[in-house]
Amino acid sequence: MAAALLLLSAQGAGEDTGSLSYPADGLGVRSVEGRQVIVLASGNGSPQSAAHSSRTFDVQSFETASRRKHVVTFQGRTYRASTPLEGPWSLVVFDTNRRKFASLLPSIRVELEGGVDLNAIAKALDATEVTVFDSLGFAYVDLPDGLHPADAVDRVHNLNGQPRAAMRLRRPRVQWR
Amino acid sequence: MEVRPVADLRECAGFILAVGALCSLVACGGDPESPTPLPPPPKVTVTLATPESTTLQESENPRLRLTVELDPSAYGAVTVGLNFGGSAERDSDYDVSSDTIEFAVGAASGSVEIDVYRDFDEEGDETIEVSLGSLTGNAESGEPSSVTLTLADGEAAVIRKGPEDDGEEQDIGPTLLPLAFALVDDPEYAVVALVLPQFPGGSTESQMLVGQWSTDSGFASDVHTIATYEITPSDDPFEQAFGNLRAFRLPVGELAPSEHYFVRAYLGSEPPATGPGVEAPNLFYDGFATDAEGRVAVRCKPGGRDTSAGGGDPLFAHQWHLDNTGQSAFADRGGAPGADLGMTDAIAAGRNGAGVKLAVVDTGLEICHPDLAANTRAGGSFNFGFARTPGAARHDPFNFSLLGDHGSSVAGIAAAAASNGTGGRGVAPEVTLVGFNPASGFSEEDEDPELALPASFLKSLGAGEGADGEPDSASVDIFNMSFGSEAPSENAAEEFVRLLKMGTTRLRGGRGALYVKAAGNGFADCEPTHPFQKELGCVNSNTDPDQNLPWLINVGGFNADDVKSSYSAAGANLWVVGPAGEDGVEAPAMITTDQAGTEAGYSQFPQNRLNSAHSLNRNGDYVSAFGGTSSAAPAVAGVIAVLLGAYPELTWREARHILAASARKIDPGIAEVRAAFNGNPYVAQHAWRTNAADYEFHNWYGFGAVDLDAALAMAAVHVAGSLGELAESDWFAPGGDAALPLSIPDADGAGASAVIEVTGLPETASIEAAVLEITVEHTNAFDLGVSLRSPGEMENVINPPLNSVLEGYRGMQNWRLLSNAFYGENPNGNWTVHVADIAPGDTGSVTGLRLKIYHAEHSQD
Repeated sequence: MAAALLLLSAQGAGEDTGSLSYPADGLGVRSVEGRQVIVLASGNGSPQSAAHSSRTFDVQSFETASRRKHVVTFQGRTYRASTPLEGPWSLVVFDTNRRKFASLLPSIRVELEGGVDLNAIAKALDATEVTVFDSLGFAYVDLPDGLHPADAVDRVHNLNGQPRAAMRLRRPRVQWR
Repeated sequence: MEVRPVADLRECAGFILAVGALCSLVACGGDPESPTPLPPPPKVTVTLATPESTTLQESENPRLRLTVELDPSAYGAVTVGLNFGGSAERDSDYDVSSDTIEFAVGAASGSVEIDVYRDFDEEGDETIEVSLGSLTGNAESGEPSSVTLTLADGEAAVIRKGPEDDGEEQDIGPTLLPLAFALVDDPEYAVVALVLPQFPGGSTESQMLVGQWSTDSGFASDVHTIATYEITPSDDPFEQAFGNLRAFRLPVGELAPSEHYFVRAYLGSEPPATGPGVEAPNLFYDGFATDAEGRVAVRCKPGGRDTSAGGGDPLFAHQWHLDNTGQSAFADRGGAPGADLGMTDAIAAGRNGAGVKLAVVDTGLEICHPDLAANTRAGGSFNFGFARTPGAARHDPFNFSLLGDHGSSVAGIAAAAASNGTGGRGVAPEVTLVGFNPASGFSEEDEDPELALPASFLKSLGAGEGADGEPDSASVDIFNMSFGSEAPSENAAEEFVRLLKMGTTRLRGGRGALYVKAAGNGFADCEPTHPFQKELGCVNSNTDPDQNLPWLINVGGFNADDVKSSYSAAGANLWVVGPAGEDGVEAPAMITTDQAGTEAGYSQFPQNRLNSAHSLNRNGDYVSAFGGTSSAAPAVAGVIAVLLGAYPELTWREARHILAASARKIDPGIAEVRAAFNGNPYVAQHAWRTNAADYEFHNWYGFGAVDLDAALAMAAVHVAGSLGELAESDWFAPGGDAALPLSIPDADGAGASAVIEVTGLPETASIEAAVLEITVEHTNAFDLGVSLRSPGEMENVINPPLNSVLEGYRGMQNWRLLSNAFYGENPNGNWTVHVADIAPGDTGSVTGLRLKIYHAEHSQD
């Protein structure tokens, strides 16, 4: 079902500074591995349609019967993509550095520092699995369906001690050589 | 007495040298009472020597030395001017080192260099007319006084570029991408083939996707259709990429015992020719066997081979990479004797890698293979798919596919047992071998395990500590990584960076594990758009996002002729090359272990000459057509195992230092790749160059071919700790006048340059690696070559132009490019970054540059 676009008013620092941050619909602009990405709505937990405009970009996301469509206008060019309505492939961002859509993994990386309480994090996120890499100083926390990694990162930041967490971008496919 | 000026005395001296007795004591004023006027010295005659050939092939980038001769030799200063004319344009078609030649006293000849620029313009043959010009000194022009050089025009070519990746038209057919072949039990026991049809932009016609199974490997009979789908192209990139994912499920509840089953999926209405090793476009093909109970065989079962200690290695004589005698290795011809790992002494001395643990991180490992079993450690390997694969065992990474197990063949190159009466031998035949298969295991609901950097890769590469049924990779000494990926302007994941830092500092009791990685096979992996690309390669090794990290040993491949394997990717990030061979048909490939059995593995492929009909491979346990940098990496990993077996105290940096310092220079005459664009010459790939620390480097070979005997000899005298501690500098950025953005002239070899000053690092610092991070706003990064010149005047191309991974890609975004070419040099001083755009039509500028130096204080060479 095609839904009407809900246009939100432009506001926040991103409007004038070009720093891209926008606060409106809960996801916004984040930094992932040194790249600024616009986090796009996914099926679960997102409104059927959402949009945001600023002086540097314009984003529209809306559902059809079977897909979620994303239209990003950035620096005068328009980019389009669609994703499944739900599941791991529904998680998508627009990478403003590379001007490409990129896929997120349905998990986050949590730093093991300052006595971080992984149990509390797992509980707060209703995590399906936590994989700890002591020697590397982080843990992967697998997220349940419906919890967007951007939201999960926010929830972790709001816990006691403000643990550090980051979204994970899907990597290029591995080939045997 | 006549007082002669100094110049005249010199003339006299010169004259004496030239004509001897004519210069008498009297003539030189020896008798003060009888002054005699000096006769004027005879003029020397100046001529232009005619070169052996006056026709120069522009395509060969010739540099001609043109000689001017004096007769007799100069007895005073002589200067000869040269005039250049003709139809060729100076500074555009050629350049000259000087317009004049100055002759010192006694000189009989001098020369200038004419540097003819190769270009790809269609201009016909041109001429350079050189003639003697003004002369100063006591000289006169003789004959010949001119010479005409003909520049034979080279190949004309324009750089063809595809549309931008968000362009509209691209007329290429669909492709079928195989994603997984696995046994699952959800919701029922089934073998699942997961495929992804893809339609490049512009495709509009739907295609039929057909999945079938058969007990006939050729699908000539007993063919059953599993499902048929109509696949529709989409102009949506995500829909295109993921929307057509399809799984074909073959229920395995009622399979016949001891049978072979094959599955195929193809695009189109007509089935393509199908069979082991038969290549066909848009075909997925694989197979599996059942055991005596009719279950899918997912565990390694020993085949009852007869192996016996002291039984020799029947295939050793054919393994050119261990001792190249010119043997053909079952191909049409042999190679160059001596083109091997240089391990004759090591073999004779019984250096075998005992006590060292090697992990093959790959598609699997046949732990019961007759030539691997002796070296595998019980319980040491790990099957990441065991929980999802009914009947599988946790510590048995058996690959149930019948069409070759990449990991088992990789393993044999490093670790096949010696003197057991079967097959050949590995480079380190007593190394302890473990296998991890991080991309195994599959759930249709999950992401494709090979798409991400899942936890299983980290657990396989040193972060697995063996607790709670997890793999133990933290006890591994050497990791072989015969895998990789390609992506434009992509850097390694943060997790991978941390993994390598941890592994090289904490594992091996703090001496650091060694990570040996295959550089890639993409050198010829494109339809060349321009002659230049054939020389530079299609996919550069630096476009593997993980290979820009200095903790890896990136390994390219050489063949039995002692030159680069035709497919081996070039790159500034290479460390060394190892043997990899060619196709095994026209020229030797690698002989190694294969999945055991005549109806499994690569041995049944038609291009494999060492098939089961051959008396040396009746059981089908070996293959003679294995290749790729996948085989160069384990050869080098085996060399490192032998090195560490003999000298276990070596740190990871000491081991890799020894590999570099003892490497054998191959293909010494390889020419630089250079051409003029807009009349300005541009070097897109250097010949072998010696850096300021006396290390020779080439982007095809790194420091050269690994030489085990030389490495062992060097290790014997290596002073522990002499390389100091590895340090990582801050980022250095351009300053002063080198303000960014820096406009890059279009289609012009002159390019644009920026200087980065590195200061404050120890005066005794030695570079271990340099990483440039570059950001370019550009409409097509395919056009761009990036070079780096050190304060020690070493130049290195860190991204060649026409890198096919960048075709149509807009710019470079904080892209990190690794170079090993500056190893050992002092980093302080001015570094020059040069960016050239050699193709017309797309433009842009450099907007970000940073340089990081990994360095230490080397007290021993």
